[in-house]
Amino acid sequence: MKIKAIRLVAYGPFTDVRIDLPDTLSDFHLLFGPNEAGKSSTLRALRHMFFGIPARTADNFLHGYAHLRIGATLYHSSGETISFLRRKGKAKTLRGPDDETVLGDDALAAFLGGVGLEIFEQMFAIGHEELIRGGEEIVSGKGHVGQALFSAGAGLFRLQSIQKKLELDCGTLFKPGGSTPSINQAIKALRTLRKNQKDALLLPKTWQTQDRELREANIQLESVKHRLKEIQQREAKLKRIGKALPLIARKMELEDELAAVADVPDLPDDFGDKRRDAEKELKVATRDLHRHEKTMKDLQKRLTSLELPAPLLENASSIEMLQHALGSHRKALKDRPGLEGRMRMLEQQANELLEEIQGELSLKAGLPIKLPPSVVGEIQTLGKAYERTSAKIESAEDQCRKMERRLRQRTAQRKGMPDPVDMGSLDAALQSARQAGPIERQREEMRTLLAALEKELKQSVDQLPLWDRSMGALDAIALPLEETIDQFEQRFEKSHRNLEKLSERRHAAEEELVQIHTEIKEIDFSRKVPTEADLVNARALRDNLWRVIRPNLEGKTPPTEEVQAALQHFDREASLPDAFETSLSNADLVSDRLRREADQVTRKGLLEARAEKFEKMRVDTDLALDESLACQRLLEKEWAQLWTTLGITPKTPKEMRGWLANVFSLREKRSVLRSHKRQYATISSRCTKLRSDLIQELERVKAPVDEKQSLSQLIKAAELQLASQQDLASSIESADKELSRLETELREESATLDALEGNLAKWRSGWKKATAKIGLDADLSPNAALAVIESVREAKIKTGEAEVLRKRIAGIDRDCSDFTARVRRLVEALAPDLTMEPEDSAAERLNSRLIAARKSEAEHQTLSDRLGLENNLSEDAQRRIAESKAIIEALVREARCTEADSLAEMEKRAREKKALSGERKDVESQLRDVSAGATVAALIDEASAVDADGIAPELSELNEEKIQLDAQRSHLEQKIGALKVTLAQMDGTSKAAHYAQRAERLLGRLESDVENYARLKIASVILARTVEQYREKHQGPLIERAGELFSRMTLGSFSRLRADYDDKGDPVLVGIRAGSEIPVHVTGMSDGTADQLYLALRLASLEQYLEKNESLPFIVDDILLRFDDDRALATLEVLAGLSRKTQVLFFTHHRHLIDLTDRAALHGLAFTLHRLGESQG
Amino acid sequence: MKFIHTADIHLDSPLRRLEEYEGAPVEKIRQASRRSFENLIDLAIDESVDFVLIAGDVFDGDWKDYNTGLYFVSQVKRLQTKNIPVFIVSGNHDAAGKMTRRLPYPANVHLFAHAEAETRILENLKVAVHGRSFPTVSVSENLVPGYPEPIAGYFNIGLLHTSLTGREGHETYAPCSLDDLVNKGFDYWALGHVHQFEKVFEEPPVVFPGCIQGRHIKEFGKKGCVRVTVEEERPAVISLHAVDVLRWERFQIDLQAVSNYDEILQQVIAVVADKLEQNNGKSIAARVVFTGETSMHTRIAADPEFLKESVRSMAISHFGDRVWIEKVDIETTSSFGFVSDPGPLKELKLIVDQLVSNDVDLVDLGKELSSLFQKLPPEYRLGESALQLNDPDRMKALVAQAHALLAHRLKKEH
Repeated sequence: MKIKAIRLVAYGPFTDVRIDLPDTLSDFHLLFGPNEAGKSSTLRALRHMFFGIPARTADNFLHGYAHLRIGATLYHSSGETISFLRRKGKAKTLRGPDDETVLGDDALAAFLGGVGLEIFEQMFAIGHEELIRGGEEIVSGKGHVGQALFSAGAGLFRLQSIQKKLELDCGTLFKPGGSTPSINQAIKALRTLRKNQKDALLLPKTWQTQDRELREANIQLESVKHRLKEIQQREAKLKRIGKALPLIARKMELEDELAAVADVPDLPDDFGDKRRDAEKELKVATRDLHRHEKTMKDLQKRLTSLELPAPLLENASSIEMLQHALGSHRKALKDRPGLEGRMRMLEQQANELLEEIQGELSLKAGLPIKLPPSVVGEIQTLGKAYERTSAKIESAEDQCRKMERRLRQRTAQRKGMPDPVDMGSLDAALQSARQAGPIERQREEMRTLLAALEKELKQSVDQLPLWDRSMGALDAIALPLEETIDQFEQRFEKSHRNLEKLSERRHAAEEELVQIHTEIKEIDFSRKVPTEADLVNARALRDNLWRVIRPNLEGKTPPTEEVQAALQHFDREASLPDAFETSLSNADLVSDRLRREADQVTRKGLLEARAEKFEKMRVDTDLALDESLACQRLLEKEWAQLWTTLGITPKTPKEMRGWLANVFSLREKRSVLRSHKRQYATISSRCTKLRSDLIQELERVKAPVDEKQSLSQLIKAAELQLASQQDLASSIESADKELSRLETELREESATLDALEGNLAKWRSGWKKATAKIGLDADLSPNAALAVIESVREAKIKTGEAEVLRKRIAGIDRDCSDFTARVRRLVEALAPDLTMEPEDSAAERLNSRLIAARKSEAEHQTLSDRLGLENNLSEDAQRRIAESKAIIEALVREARCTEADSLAEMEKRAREKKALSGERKDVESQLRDVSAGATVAALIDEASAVDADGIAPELSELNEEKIQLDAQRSHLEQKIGALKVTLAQMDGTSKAAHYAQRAERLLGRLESDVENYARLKIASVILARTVEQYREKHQGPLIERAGELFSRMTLGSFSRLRADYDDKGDPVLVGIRAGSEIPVHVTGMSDGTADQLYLALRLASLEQYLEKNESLPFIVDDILLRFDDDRALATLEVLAGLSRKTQVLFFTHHRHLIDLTDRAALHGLAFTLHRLGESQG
Repeated sequence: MKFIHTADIHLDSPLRRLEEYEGAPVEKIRQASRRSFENLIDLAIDESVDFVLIAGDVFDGDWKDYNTGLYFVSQVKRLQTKNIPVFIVSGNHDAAGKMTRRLPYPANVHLFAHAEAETRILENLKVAVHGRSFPTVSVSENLVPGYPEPIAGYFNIGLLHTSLTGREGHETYAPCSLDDLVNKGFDYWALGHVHQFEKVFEEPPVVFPGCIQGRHIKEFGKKGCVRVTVEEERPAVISLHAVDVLRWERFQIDLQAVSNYDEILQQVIAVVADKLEQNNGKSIAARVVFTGETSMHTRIAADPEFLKESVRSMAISHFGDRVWIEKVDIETTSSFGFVSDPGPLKELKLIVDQLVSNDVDLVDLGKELSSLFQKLPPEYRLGESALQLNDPDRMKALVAQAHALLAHRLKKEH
């Protein structure tokens, strides 16, 4: 397949670019694209065109993804052609050249010969980078033939790293002697797990043995325990009988003793006590009886000796009454004189009081005066009412006086106040001034601003270049339009560029000329190059001599002059044959040199042709320069004219545009200044008006005014004036209010006073009536009337007291006579011996006689009582004696005695019998304790069967056996415990299963690792075999063809390539030095040579491929960078040779290479040059 | 009347070749066989069944740990506390391990004699269980004729470990025909040996309950025991109750439509999530098999490990400990056919074609791996999917994978 044309419709930097690749001259296309000309884009476009545009590409910066289009016209070797466009997408990306007809996705397949993108890139594209890496690969592979051929054939340069990676991958999985790779590790871990599993295993036999032992031990333990129990029982029995034997003996003795006292009665325990109590009682009662009888005799005697006065005792109450009255009788007689004196004094005081008030009473009737409480109360009330009313009247009068005084003072003050003035218009003027705000400061600021602006503007105008006139004049002139200036600027620029270009071209031509002349000089200098003329001359010389010699050979003699002529260019002595020989060799030499140095000759010829070309170029450029300069001057004149009418000498258009901008800005500033000035005038006039208005108003209200004051000062003065007027108005108002209030209050106070006076008059009539009721003088003041009433009341009280005293004295006299009569009557009846005695002492003696009689009477009574008591006691003693005797008789009967005296003896014997039977009970009870449930009789029977002396030895035997059995039991119990623990540990644990599961998991891992390893290992083996087989099949023809190409590319420095063998016997590539036939190993080749070797192998493989397959264009990207010029040219020739078999597209961005091809073209190298940058629209 | 029929418990037999990998849910599979057996015992207790039948292979023949037996005893003792009798016949595995007969069974367990068939009566239920244990590992005679005649008026159950006339993937033991069983006149045949639940016959029921926990990919799907309910004069109601703790599942995924790894993983997630839901979230040991003609073939085949790891890390992040990716098999083919690469790459294809067309060469190629195989432990070779160097088909597949790997690496820009 060949590409006829490439269409870059919309792709990367391209829009509608078409590169035609005609094969008219040859199918070797040199595509030159300097940097940025789109060389890389074109290369990429080729791939994308064939194999599709990838999903992500950077070639959409100009045309969006949807619009990307690249296409081509392709020839198939069968003659078929196709034209298509490729768009970006997943499917149906191929279209006809009309961009509408959809082509099948496999429409290109036949043209590409089934080659995919990767293979295409590896085999049909080569770049500088790949070439270098391919060369390095050969060197690092030490020229291993298989590798080198395989790599070059497949366009690979990574074969070695692929092989190494495979080995490395294998190595991480398994190494025969290793321990860290995963398979090695797994094998080891598996072994450990299996061992663990085995250790964790529990064998059935192990468990069963343990289980059986446990059961046997349990049985043994049971029998030991049984025997131990028997021993314990026997021991207990023996011990019990041992304890019972002495008790049984004692019981027998007791039975005998009790039999001896069988006739003694069993007496109750309290028998002795009863007997002793009865005997004691009998003794005591007998003694008591004697004592009581004696006492009774004594009492009888004392009673008969006692005497009792009966009449005195019968009148005892009368005598006692007298005795009682005696005390009060004596006291009354003593008090009577005092009472009488007091009575007389009270009567006298009452009379004195009445006499004192006699004058105050209107009724002269004398005492007793009546004082009804209602009247007295009325008089007291009226007295209090009088006090209140008179106090109120006094205070009201005082208030009235004070108010009158204040009213007089306020009225005088009000009269002293001035009259107010109307302030309405002043206020209005003030408001306008205030509303105007800080107008004065504004005016001031404006003025300063104006001055500054004016100054600045003047300075700007002064400094404006090219202008010496006034600002006004500047406003007046008509300036040229900015567009006009732009036009001039463009024209100037164009002219300058033109001039610059021309002088550059001239300069380049001159430099080139100098360079060419130097090179020519170098060629001439290094060697005088023979010319065709030199060769003609040398041949002419030779031919001349030949013409002379020929006759000689024919046997003729040539004319001497001819010989001379022919020899004239040679040494005189030279013979003709010598001369001919010289001339012959000379002609050959010239011819040889001419041929050998043809390059130099051609190069000189070329250089001279170039020199001529550049000379012409220089002259042409000079002419063009003169013309351009003239134009430039004309333009400058026209420019000056534009400004001279304004009186300005212009600078460059660019500067003048700046100047113009300056002028416009100045004009702008001036207009601003003017507007500010107008504003200032307005403010000034407003200010003046406000001031005059204020001054006029202030004068009107007679405020002090200073004409020179500023507006703000005036405003302050007006404000002050307004404020003082307001103060005055409010003072007047408050004074008037105060006056009217005072007048009202004074009127109210006078009315109150009048009302109080009325009340007082009413009181006076009431008072008069009240005093009349008790006969008091109506003129008496309330206080005096009350004092009279008090005195009357006192006199009445004293008269009352005197009356009481009088009645008491009369009572005392009556009681005294009554007492005397009663005394007389009693003395006559009871004690005539006292008749002569005064009443009171008689009464007293009667009383003491009565007391003595009473005492005798009491003693008599006491003695009678005691006598009765003693009589009772003696009767009681007689009864007790009888009772005791009866008890003793009963006891004697109970003890079966004959008499009371033998009672004590019988008692003693009974006690002894009781002790014996008690002891027998104890012994029997102890026997029961020992018998452990059996009856005493059974125990005694049992004991009788035992040999008492045999007990101790048997017990000791039993004890020994028991110790032995205990030891056995403990041993068995321990054994059982241990067995139980062991069995408990065999608890059905899953440890072994756990290890088995882990082992399975590892085996699973191992399986997949092994498979991985096998895959990688087999891949590695297959690759090695492939490389080797490829070598075997293709080594011969490939190495031969590559050798030819290598020889041409190294300019014959190597004659061919050969497969040699290294130390290990592996085939390796060596280059054979031309001439010397010395083999050079790849490691001994320079980098460039290794690159050429790789290229030679690539091209040879490609040629081989092309022999049997559909051709594809070979895309070369700047591979000659490391080649020197000669080898580069040789390589280009090799590629040109390849182009006879397939289309070759050589991309480069090196101009140097294009120059080289210029030279190559002279040698007949057929290629077509495409300049990418230039063909781009 | 209600009873449980189970068999092929293979206690403590490990889950086979479940490949270990970082993040694999190791805890989930811990003691899987024990936990499924405990589930079975729980079921018997919860359902208050009348008795439990075990038709052989309680233990694994290879398994020698007496602890396993003790564990079994501890579990049947739980049934003893509920007064649930257990009837066991030993199968080929039990006969091999010899553990079954030596255990200290509690009183509720009856292990049938192996010398001849015997009968056990449950008088209260009117049930007669007939059975005979395997005397040796390999019983080639038909045991059915030796079974007693049915007892009239009783529900007669035959407990038998047999492969019938042969079952795929199971060795032939105690062979008998279905007619032998049906014509015996029993009311229920409780069989064991086949690891897959199967109702061989309806009336009278002849049933394989299958194993209670799958141990490898061939024992996939739901595993459990059979619960039989018999009511007077009605046919027995038979249902399979899952007791397994981890279920083996195979996922075949066609990659025809995918164009990148992400889409592959999405497909895996979808099918696995679906299966998890079907299984009520029961954990899965998943084998993923990729098939189909796909444009991804070369990329996948060039580095199958990468895909396997991707699937596993996806499983960890998506399903946590509920899924164990047991294996990832790649059986895809290229959708391009094989592009005839020119030049040296053509040589590669030639070499591969030559290799795969010649079994002798393939086996010869195996020798390149001998240094590895010498080191491998013998048990490696016992694995179902262990590499057999003398198996030309396995070698052929490996060569094809190696070819894809090379083609990819030789073309790929690294």
